[in-house]
Amino acid sequence: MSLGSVKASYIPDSPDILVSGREITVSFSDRNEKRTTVLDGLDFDIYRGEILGLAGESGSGKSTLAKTILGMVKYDSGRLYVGADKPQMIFQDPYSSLNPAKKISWIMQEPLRLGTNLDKNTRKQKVSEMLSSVGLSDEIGDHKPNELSGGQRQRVCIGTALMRNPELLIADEPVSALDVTVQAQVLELMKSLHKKHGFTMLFISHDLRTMYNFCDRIMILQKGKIVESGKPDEMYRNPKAEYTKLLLESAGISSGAV
Amino acid sequence: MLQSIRKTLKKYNNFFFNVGMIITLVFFVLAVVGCFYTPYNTTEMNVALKNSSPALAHIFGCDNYGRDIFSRVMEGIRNTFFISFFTVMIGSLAGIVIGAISGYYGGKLDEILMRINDVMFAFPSVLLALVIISLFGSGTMVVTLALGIAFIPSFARIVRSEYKKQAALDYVQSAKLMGAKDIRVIFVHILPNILPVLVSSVMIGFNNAVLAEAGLSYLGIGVQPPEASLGRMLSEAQSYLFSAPWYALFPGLAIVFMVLGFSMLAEGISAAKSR
Amino acid sequence: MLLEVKDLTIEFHDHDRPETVVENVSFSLDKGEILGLVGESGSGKSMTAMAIAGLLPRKKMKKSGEIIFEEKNLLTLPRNDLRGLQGDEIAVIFQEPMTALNPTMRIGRQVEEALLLHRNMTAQDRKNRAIKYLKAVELDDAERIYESYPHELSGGQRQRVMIAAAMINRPKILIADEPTTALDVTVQAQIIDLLQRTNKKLGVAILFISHDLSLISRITHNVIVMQNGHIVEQGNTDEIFANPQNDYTKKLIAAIPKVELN
Repeated sequence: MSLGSVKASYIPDSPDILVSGREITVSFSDRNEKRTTVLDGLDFDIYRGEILGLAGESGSGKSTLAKTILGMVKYDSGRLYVGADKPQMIFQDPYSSLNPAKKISWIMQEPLRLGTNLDKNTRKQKVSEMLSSVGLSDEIGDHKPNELSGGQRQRVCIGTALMRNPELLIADEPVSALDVTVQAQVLELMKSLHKKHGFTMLFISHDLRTMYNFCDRIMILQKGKIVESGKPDEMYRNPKAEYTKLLLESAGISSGAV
Repeated sequence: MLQSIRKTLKKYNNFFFNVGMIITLVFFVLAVVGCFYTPYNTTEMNVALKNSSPALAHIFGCDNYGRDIFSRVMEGIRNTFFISFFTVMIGSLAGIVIGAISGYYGGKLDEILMRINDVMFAFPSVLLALVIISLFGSGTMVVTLALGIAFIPSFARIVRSEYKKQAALDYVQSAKLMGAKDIRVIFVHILPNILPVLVSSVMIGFNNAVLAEAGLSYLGIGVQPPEASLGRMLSEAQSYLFSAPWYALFPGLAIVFMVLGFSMLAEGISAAKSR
Repeated sequence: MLLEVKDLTIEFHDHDRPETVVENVSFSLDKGEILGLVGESGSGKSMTAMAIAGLLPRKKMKKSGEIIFEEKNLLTLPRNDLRGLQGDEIAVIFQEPMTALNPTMRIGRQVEEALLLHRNMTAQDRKNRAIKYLKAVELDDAERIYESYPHELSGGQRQRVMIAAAMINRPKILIADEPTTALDVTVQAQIIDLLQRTNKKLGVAILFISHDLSLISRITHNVIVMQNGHIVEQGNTDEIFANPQNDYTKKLIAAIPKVELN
């Protein structure tokens, strides 16, 4: 199985579109051969350079959509266009997404080892540059993941994902396992790296508060269907779908409130 | 460098590890020296010394042919040690490959490999080795190979369950997204993470191999005479249990301490790891 | 004053060096109050709560100070007297509704547990009371849930069951340790709503532990902010959120993502 290579079952009409899906349906069968539909005929576009938020609760299919785009899950029907080579992912749990047996420097060099012909010294040079751009000191490279805090680990994950300058970055609840003050720092880091590198980001979260300032556009997913999408400000002020209203209310966001 | 060695030593500084290490080292030295030198020729008979009790010249005494028991115990330890070592090598290497493929890929392949494994597992390993020996004849090489094959299923099973656990972790997904090929993910990314489990099962496997080899020799199908082996010495000593108890005692103690040393070493390592 | 904590200090002694996880913590809890305990991981908030609940191990740790509840010091109370309070006067609900219930026991039996231990009641009375409380936490079909096993329920339903089991003896204090963190946002809002109404209706004091400041600001009357085992600020919730004095509190409040609709 080869993951993340450019694949297209159709070409979208606009060159601004990086990823596009039409009537994407994904279903899984459980042990009793009963099929559950996880994504139910999704139509969506991700535009080049934007941060698209994907909000929903457990079972809404938001992680499945990410995996479908990455080629880790096969879709049953529909058409999918992924115009980015080797999209990368940042996972929710920074404690399981770094190899516990390897040093940080080794982990961060791995994308270069696999995708480039750079020699060891150049690789180390690149790692040290990346460490500083995610706000970590050089000596972090000599540590193993278990010697790092959650926030440091997530910074390492972000750095590793960006080693080969991917066009598309998928972040699956990247801060929800972190302490609140650390959350703010990591979000800020991702925002500034986005500005610097100009990659496209799919930001998956259940937290509508965080998404408000972070995302350019938000898609609300419920039970495998997109119930609403749009710019955060407009959506929060004037939610159309009942489910969006419920989510905003649950997060303590009513018109004009903090 | 020196500091990291000192750090490692400090980490493993516990009672079980220290005692186990000493016992194991003694046996290792005896085994290695046994390859080049024994105090007496192990096959030289001397009627005058038949069943003589331990004395300064022959500290473990002599057997029913008047051969020096200490020299023969050394040779027995050497044989047992190396047979067990290669048994575990064969068993664990093949077990790693089979278990890794099975656990990492899962699905139908896993299903097939594990059913074959279960069939092999259903036989006691000594019985399985007996079957192989009866097919290919006895001798050190065949015994090692037979025991090695008999040991594959238990290793494969442990390795498989570890790979299943690891394959579900995000770092494996992340390695795949970077473009790492499966073989690299299996051996470079995942393998180092299952080493701790592997080390302790290799230790336990070594003990089982020592006992299995001794058992086979006791039955007369392991190492062939006149070559000495601990199991065969025990079986021969049975007839002289009252007239020459030292003949059974020393080979028996050798087996006991060899297993004890390794068990303590394994215990010490896992204690240090869990701290 | 219902509960008073004076100079509580907790030290761990299970490593080479003793480690102080809570130091000189003092506060009080009044009848009917919802008190928030806020902090990040390692702040000592859960340790403080577990000390009040009497759930800290007796060995390998040193506790000093006083926790006064009804003129008794919970820290020095004999084990059996403490057990008499647990689940009766002081009840706890945990973060993880998936593991807080025994998977092999029917829901009814688990909700009744506190009655079985602390009250002399017939089986029928216990069952009636359990069903009454399952209804009170807005579980439709309480009779069916009474007969179910935990795995047959959703996360939200389980947390409701936990609240019913905690409230069944009408405790004076309910300790809620991150009770909604593991739940979906919409379910989270329902559970919070239920806790608030339980507090109003039954007058139970709630010690609400959370890392979610936005949630704390919405439901608590008073709040304690903890950092590295110390209290850095405490007082009325609205006042603290409007005008934080301590730098760390300011930092925490600044970390709440702001949604200002224009």
